[in-house]
Amino acid sequence: MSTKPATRKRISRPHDLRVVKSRAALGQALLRLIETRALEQITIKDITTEAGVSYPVFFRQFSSKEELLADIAAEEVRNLLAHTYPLFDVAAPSDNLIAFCLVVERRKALWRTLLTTGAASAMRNEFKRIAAEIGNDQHPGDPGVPVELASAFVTSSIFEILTWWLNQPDDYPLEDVASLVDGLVVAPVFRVYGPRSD
Amino acid sequence: MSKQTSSTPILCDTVAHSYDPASGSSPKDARAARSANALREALLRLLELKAFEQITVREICQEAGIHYATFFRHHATKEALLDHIAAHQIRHLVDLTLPIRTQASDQESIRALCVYVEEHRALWTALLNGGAGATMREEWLRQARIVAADQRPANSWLPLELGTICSVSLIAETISWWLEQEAGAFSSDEIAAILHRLVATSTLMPDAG
Repeated sequence: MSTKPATRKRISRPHDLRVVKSRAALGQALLRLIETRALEQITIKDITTEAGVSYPVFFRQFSSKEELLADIAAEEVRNLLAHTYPLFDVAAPSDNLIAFCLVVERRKALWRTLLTTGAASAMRNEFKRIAAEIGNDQHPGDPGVPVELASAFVTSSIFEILTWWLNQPDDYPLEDVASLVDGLVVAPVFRVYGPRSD
Repeated sequence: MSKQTSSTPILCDTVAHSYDPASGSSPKDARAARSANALREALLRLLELKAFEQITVREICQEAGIHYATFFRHHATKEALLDHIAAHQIRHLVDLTLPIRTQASDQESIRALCVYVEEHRALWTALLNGGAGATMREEWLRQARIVAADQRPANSWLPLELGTICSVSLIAETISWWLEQEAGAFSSDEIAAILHRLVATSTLMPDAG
């Protein structure tokens, strides 16, 4: 590979760039459409039209709209995890709780779709896997509750709260969700493990 | 699995499957109840030996001492039989967890739950960590909701519905994780202590002050 860097660059780069661009455009398009109607009512044609790309371009990236949704789901999981980590920080916990809830609040329709479709269990598993990795870094010793189990606990509590929340009336106060996350996720972990150690 | 059961109502009998053999009102009913019982016991025994996927209907019949064709008078598939067992197993578990409402009184029931699961380790592994895991959890939650509706909530900071969901999911996750570990890696007492700690610090946490 290292012997032909120039060739590799010339051939793959413009193409990669175009791929990345249309991938992002398709994702953004589905995100916009999902705020207006249910996934079943969105066709691939709708997505490509909204994205401003030709119909066949879609199939160069994804085999179905479910696959595109899985792509979006993975991104949302990363985003949620990024906002979960600071929850276990002792400093400014309530701001962090609100920030965590806003991840979902800002894209409620999307999350409602994600949590009620086949994407949900893949999201949970991915979240749990990464949470366990982070947990192991944080607590290599054994504080009584195995880290792997604690991350399963955190993951399932978070996803149950979010699913329950999205089934409540639209004006359910964000602050109330934040305090539920605090009571069901953050406080239990603190009581078992103590605050984050770094 | 449960879909299949409900789409074939003729095979999904409720009468012949009564666990109380005395409920049979005719000799024929009594015989049906006996073979239903035998099939259930047979699958439970086989599950102690191997994974559900590796068990055939023929083996279940052999173990039960029942004719192959008789099986299908009771269930359409071995999955339907497992479904049927699952509903009863969950019922038992939910009954065991019934007293888990307060931090003070739950320790014993959590221990009883863990001991019960340990005694039926193979079965619960098949039920919770097998292909039917999602259906199991739904059924568990469904039954727990019915029970919770009649009980006084443990606290007021947590909406009852969410409390039930999170409690069931917490117990199911913990047991599922336990069953993934090597047998004997954690005793039922250890798991009970962990579970108690998790429940007591979350869904059963009393109101502040």
